[in-house]
Amino acid sequence: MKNKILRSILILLPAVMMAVTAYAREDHKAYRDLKLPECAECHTGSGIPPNHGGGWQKEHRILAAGPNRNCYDCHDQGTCQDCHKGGGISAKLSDSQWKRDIKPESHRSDWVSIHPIQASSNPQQCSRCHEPPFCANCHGRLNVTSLTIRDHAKSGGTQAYIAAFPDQHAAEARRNLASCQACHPDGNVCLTCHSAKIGIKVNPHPKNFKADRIGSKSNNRSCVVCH
Amino acid sequence: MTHRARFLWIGLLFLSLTPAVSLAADLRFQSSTQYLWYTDPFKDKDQSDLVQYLKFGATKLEPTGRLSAVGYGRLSGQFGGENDPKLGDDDGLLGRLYFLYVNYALPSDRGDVRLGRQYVSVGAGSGTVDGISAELRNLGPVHATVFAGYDVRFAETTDRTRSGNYLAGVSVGGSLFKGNTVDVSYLRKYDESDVIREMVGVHADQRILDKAKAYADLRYDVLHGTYSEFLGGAKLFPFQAPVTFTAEYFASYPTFDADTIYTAFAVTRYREGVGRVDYIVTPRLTLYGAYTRADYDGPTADIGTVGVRATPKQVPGLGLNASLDLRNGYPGDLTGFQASADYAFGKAMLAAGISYDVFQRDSMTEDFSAKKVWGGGSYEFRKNMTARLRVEDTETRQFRNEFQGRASVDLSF
Repeated sequence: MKNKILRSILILLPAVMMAVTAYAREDHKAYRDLKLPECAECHTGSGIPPNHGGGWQKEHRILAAGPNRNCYDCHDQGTCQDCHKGGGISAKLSDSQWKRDIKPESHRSDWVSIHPIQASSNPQQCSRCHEPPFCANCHGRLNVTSLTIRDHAKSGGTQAYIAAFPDQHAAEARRNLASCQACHPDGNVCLTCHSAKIGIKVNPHPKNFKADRIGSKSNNRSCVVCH
Repeated sequence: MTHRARFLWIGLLFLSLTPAVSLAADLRFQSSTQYLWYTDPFKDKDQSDLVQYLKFGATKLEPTGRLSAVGYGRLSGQFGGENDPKLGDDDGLLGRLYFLYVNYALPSDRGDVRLGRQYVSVGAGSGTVDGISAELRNLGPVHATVFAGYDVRFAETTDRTRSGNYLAGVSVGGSLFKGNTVDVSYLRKYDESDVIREMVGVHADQRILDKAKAYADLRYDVLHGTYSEFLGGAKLFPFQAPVTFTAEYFASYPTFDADTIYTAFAVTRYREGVGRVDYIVTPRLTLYGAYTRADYDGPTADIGTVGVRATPKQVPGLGLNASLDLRNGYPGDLTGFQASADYAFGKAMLAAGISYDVFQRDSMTEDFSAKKVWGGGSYEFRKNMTARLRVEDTETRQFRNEFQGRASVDLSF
């Protein structure tokens, strides 16, 4: 038995040593002061696609989340937090602000009016930086009749559209449910029809809804609201 | 963050900086004092803030140099207007702590162990925790990340942790063979000790013949029993000149934390296909363009963007950026451009930019336009002291002129 273990170690050790060499993470600290286009020369030469290009704001998520990331060779955590949480200690002259928080470049010109278009494109991207109360903070303060939500507008800003256009209400809500949450953070208005206790009891659950799993893990927190 | 937790972290930090362990410590500070003025859209009134940022790094806290401490935060106070705590117009100072942790670097660049407030990220999700994390790398083909702690939730004026709110994650990956990475991660989020989010992330990428890279990334929502996000793509860079072609397919099924009733509602999938080209013509000229076809489970949209970044040789110190964006389809149309230039001469820099957008959301009956013009300058008084001034005027749908500005003095020592 001992011999087997020793033999295994003798065989495995060189393999591990080779792997350590072959897969060693490239330390980029020495290159941190290079201009980005200058990085491309080495990258393409060594078979690694250049990054920090035109789509970097969107595509950095995958590289930054990998455990073998080397972001910290050039950046500290302030780079993440400045963009994700509005920090401004290194604000560039081109950086605009929303009140005291620095805004990322994607939040263009009249962002208050334009953001519903952007928020619909991948409805999960807002939540990468903002918690749900962030939306409610603004939306809860606006006069509902001043909003131009697609179907709310048809009924003069009231909820009457739900009865008048039930299919459209469902389609719109399913496409961007986060926009409902922005104005109705606790969802009470949804319960008018979707509760199992009151109203017309319309089932809002998707097919194959994992009620038991969600209920058991979350202590039935959301379940008891309707059931 | 509760006061108790904040004092705990600050206490830990000062403990690490005590003379006994920091005789040869190298301390560096970065500070930015900013005066901001703007129109509050909710009140239609001018307001101003005084903001003090501070970032520090302390290295060589012990003889081997493996222990370091870093921190970053800000204090702000608002002047003028009516006090409205919900909008952050508190009577007192508002604080925000971005990170504050002690870092222990493992020997031979094998990784880091961090204790304190920090940004954490694995393929399954990301967040900020008051807790501990460990990143292990260069262990042959294997790398790993693990973290756990109080979940820090940022809101308009707060960054709070609460007992019962936790965030934990783990990620293990490796290179099966050269040019390949596979990674599996897991993330769990608690609210008042109930599990409200449970995600699994899987990532794989492969470099092909040193001319291409294919990758796939999946986020699976365990509670809802469905994938939450999927990205599959490939990058091709076949030429000696740095031209990169990217093709991606992305699908999103938005799921919600289980502490809200929205977790129980049916949603539809969002899908998009992206084609992008990045061309570094010379180190002084970069061009890029992208086309996206978005599908909202029925309605669609076409989105295009082209851009250029240049630093002309003929005018040393000049930098130019411009981009054009076109969008047509659900849930709105947008045509806009952004352009900016900066010019550095001696110890000074001047910069200016403009952006102009014409847009119409589906719910609108006519086009609206918005224009933003900004300009600014900086001057380096000393190597470690720079003053900056930036002013901006925006014409929005709601306001004819919305002025804002920022004056700052930045120091490093």
